[in-house]
Amino acid sequence: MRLSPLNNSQWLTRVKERAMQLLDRYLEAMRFWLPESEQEDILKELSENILAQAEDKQEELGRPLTIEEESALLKRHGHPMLFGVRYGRRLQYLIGPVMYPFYKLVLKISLAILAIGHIINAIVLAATKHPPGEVITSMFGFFGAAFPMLGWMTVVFAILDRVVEKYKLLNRWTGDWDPKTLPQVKPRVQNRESFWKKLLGVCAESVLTVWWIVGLQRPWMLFGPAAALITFGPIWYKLYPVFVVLGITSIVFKCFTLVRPETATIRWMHLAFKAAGLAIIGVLARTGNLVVLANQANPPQNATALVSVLETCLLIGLSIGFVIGVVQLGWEAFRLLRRRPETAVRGVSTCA
Amino acid sequence: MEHSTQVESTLENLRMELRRGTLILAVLSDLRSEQYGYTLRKDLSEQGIEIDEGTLYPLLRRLETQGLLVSQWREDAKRNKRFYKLSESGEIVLKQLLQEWQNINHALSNIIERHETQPAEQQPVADQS
Repeated sequence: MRLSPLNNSQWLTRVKERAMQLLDRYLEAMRFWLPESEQEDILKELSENILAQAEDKQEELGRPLTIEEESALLKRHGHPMLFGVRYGRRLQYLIGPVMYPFYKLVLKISLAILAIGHIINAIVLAATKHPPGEVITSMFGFFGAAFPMLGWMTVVFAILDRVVEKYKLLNRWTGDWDPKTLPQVKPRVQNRESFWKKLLGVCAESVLTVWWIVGLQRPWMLFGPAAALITFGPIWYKLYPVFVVLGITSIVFKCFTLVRPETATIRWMHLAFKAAGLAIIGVLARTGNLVVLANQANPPQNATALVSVLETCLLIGLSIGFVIGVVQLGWEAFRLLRRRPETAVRGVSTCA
Repeated sequence: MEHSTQVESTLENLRMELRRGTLILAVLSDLRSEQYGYTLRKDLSEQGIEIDEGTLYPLLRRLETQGLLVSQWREDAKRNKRFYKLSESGEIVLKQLLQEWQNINHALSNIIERHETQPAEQQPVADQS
């Protein structure tokens, strides 16, 4: 490549002219990411620094820079966005690390309350013989209410975060803390389920409860086409209020455990719900007459035999379920009784 | 292969962390004499401290906001440039930081030296359980 001899002043002019085209584009791309009050000043300073660097390179090479070299020089500085954001005064986040755990907790509690409200509403609608479509709409109404709530809560906590930071409230609150005033450690049970696993459990249980309560009123939801032949025996309807109450309290309790640590008390309450379920199974198995003919006055051919087979199968199933349930319940109660509360301090004691 | 990439990545992160604090010390020390951004970067590079522009230029602004540097626009080689210099409080802070640096350096040398001279004595006891 033949180099044309240039004097210093010509070099500078050419460097400046050619570099300016790329440089201007580079700086303009950066402008958006800079603090507004300092934009012009930073860009001017950066422009001078880059031009000085280009001049140095030019003198070193003894010729004007090629467009690739100019481009490489700018590339060395990094992407304009990444360069620009480094001038930011503070780390950009919506909710800071101090407020975030509170935000998460309040969000969980609010979502749980909202879910309980919608589930109870759906159960009440189902129990009062509203159409299934209305019950399902009521349950899915949760999402319609949850998203705006999420948005508003985020905005409120973002504002709170700014206020806490602006007025240095955290320093005031934590300035004179005393280790002796920290709360006592409560015993915890190990192997806790994750929040999402629990939430999935609550959702599944809610759907099943609603389906069951609606299904008892509309047997075709449980029996399908066989509902034309068979239906539930009278014992199911006698126990209907118990199903509704137990279903609601169980779901409310499960939602409560979503946001509460799993303590031994909560484990015992779980066992109490299981025991109540087993008691119902026991009553059903003992009473019998679980399935009856839908049309007893004029039963179709072989329908009586079908009812008899189903009754036997149900009784065997419920009896086996009852026995397994009692054994499981006893085993879990035994394990809970034997388990020692987890000690709070696991590290080496500093006390002499 | 994956393990070695992970080690390299961890090493790079640790190296960056180690350099972060020392870069400020280097910048403050070098700005005892007035310089503008590009010449400062060049000077540090010549002394063996590589610092990219995207780190140095915003750092200068931050140190100025913290009152450790003062700056002014002035003409040099027919162009206006922003020159930075250590402020009065910057000088005090630098003095204390250098003292701190020497203490850390001394303590670290002692720790490294002690382990280099007695490598076998501090072997961890194998778990017998």
